[in-house]
Amino acid sequence: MKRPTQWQNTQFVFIILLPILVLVTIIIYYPAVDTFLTSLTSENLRIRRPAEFIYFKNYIRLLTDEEFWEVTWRSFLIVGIVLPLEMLIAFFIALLLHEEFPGRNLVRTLTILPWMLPPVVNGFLWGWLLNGEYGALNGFLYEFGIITNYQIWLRTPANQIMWVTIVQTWTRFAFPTIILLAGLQGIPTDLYDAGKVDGAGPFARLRFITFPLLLPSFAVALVVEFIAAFQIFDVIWTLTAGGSAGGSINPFTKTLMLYNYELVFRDLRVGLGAALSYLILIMSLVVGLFFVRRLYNQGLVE
Amino acid sequence: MTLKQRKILRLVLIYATCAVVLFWALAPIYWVFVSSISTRAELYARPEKVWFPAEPTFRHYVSLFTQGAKYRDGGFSPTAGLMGSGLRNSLVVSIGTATIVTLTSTGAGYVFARMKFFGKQFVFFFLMLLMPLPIWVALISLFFLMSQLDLIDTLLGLILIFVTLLSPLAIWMMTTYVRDIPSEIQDAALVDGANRWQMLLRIVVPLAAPGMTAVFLVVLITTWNNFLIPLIFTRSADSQPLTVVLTLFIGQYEVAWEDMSAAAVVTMLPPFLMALFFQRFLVRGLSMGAVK
Amino acid sequence: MKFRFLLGILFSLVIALGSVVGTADVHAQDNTITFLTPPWGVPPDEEALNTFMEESGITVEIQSVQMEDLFSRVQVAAATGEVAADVIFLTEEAPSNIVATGNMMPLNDLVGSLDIEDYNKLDFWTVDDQVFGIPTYLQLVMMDYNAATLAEAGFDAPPTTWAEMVSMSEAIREQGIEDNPVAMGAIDWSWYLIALSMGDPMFDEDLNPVFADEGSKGREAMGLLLSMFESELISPEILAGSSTQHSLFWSGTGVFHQGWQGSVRVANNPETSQQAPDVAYMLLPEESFTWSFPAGIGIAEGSENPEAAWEFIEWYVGEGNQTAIYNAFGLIPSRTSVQAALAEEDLIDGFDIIEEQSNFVNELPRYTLWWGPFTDVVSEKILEAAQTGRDADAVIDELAEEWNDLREEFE
Repeated sequence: MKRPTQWQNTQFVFIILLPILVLVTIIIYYPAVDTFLTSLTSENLRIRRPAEFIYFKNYIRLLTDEEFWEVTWRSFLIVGIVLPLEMLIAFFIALLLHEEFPGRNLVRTLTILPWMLPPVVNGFLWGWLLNGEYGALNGFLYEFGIITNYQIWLRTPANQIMWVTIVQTWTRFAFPTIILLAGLQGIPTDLYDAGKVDGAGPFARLRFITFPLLLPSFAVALVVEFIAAFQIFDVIWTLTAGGSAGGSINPFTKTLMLYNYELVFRDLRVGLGAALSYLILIMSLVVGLFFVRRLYNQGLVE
Repeated sequence: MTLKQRKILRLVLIYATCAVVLFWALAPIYWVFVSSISTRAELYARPEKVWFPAEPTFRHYVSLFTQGAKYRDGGFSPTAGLMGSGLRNSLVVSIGTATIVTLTSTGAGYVFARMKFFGKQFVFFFLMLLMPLPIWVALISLFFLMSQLDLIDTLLGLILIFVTLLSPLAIWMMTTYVRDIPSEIQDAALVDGANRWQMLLRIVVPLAAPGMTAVFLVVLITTWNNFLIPLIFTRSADSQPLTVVLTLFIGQYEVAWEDMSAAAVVTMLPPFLMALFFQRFLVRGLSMGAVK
Repeated sequence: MKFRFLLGILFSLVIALGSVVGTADVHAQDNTITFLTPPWGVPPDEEALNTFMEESGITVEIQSVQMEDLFSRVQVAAATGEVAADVIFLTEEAPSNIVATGNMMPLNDLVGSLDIEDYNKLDFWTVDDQVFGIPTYLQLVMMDYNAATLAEAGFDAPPTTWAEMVSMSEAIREQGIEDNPVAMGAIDWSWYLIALSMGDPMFDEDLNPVFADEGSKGREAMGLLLSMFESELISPEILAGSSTQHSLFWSGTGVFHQGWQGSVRVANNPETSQQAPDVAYMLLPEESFTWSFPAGIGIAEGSENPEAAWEFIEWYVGEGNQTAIYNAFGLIPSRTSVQAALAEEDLIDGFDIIEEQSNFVNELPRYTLWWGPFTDVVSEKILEAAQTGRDADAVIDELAEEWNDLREEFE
């Protein structure tokens, strides 16, 4: 017997990869191209006339529309609050879990739970917690004397955004925690020993040994969490959007993804919605390229 | 301070911090669970809340599956059926997707990790590009495509979409996993005359079983938790999974927090249990790609 | 070897493509029809529905969805050449969102089997002599109030002007009876209601937005509405988005409530409302005008089983189901005979005020194709202005501009 021939290898590769490539082509790439073509038309399902080809008018309309910039700014605002918040909490918890103590695995298991739950449930959960009339947060703070009257936590737009970022952080903080923890565990202990010998205190060791060595882990966590926060949808849907109540979508927590949903599936302005999708793509592209470059750096692709 | 005292102080500090962390992570979950087993009188108590019901009751769960949520005072609405069908749909879609993705990604992982062929880089790139791609780019036209194929509101349609969306991550995970299996064993097998299929099934699969388990669980939980895809591609009890059914309850019916809490608990129970019992696999799986 | 290679390709294609294409099995089973409805259109009497299904041999599959989703679902299905459902419940903004868009089938050939004279508001669902829906219940947007609370504050009659309602509300608050006496939503309805009842026609015959005229009542109405949010006469809970004006009122907050023909029945039911049993309708203040929301039921254009669909509709608008709907939701039957039967037993709360109110109806241009999108914008603008304290005049100007833009886009 001899090693498989080139032909056998080719056929093997072909059979293995073909189904998934066909699926990806049909379900993602073909619709993506089609969406782009749609974005150049005036397609609006509410109007019963054939869509016209209008070049880039949809894009121009969006880019000159105040609402688009508001929504974009809000999306980046949410990302801008969520990322530092998550990293801070994750770093803190990772340091804690890096310590050795009895019951550490249990604590780790329980800490990670929120990440594993459906984000729509998380939005609902917090909505109930923050409820102004019967919410548990009010009850809790009242019993500790921190507040004397029940607060309507989601009352103002600023508060709504704030709570969205907190709930998003609660949903996602476990992921960066794990990444950072893995990073911490990868730091050789003799580095710390050397640091001790050189007379570095705990904070100096954190600052000059741990932190620099964790930077790659931070980078990974940041990229992944950027994508998660930028594409936030579920949490807002059940927390503040009012979308699940069937009414119009609360404009104060409308992010790019919700705006896109509204344009296409509520307003039925398909052409305009398609254009927005591509604008979102362009915004994500910068980060996406970074993401793919990391793949190369990791040597997955030779 | 003696060494022993310092040790004790350290532990005390650690456990105190752990308490804070666990409170942050678990208190909301605890509250929704308590809400689901409280009577309305206790649940709506204010300003002092009842932190654990005097008489826990499971009747909200029972009524959820038998009666369903009510609209105003109105007799029946077909929501009881929705919980049952939602559970079924969630299970079928997530298990189906996880099974298919595990099988295909193991093969693909092996191919990418171990074989050289023309266009490999390009194909890998072609697949991995999907990961950071905002799904909306494809979603709009995909919706109309699925409509034309009669796949809207079908479990099969959901499974096809999820398989496609999750394959890149799974392939990535399996590629890294297979790459880390010592290649000597495989080369030896090749010399012994095994063909690629035999090798994949007899050598790679047993060695990659933990990786496959991780892929299976990761895909299962991701699919179960997803909301946007079923929100758009489902319409009725034929295919609406629990995540969508839950939001229907929130919007449509009188705000019965105890019933909705029960629905929320049912929706999050499988991921919750998986996270408790299979966390090792999940965490390794979910972070493998990113950390390696 | 080559053979196996081909077999492999074939296998892959079966997995990937075969499943996609091969599922074009038709779900149109013989006598199954689908009924797409918002939750309040679901027949409340399950047993009666089952009896109907047994006797007629028709299986009715009910799809209860939120109103906004109902509209988009119908249109999206139409755009892909499909039918969202056989029977569709027509409610609220359905004239603009479903009928004007051409998604319903004319029922002229079928209505002969009904006693047409008995149905009120059939004309509402008739466009250019084509009947698109059979009325199921009548609905006017109204106000109701808790008479006991009002009496406690020393007022023995409901207000006759909006300014009076505000001053009463302030008095109620000052006496510590109720902090947020007005239960109205941050939605389009609140504004239409105040503006119409102040006597603003809102639109002229050529559909020009006269609500934006200099010194119009529409402007005054918006100012009043926004000021009630500003002063929190309307509970801020509304702005948090967690409650509607209805659930808020029924859970005990508020004295004046934006209701409808039939809302008192819900409010005076101790099972559903803390306000029971003291709620009564009031005739709308000032010029008293409101607009109406008769609901209808019709067959979707392109339905493959219109006969069975019509049979279901006949049952749906029948006496039994209309009475059940009234009993469950308080919605007034569209049929004079059913109304009379209920009135005879004195079952309709506040029937006299309902009747009086129905003399003051000023319909909004709800069949206009862009009315649906316009209402969404109105709601959004009101919510926005209530949150940020924007100037009412600026809001009105923007709304008029939006109306004209939409008109240009759709006409």
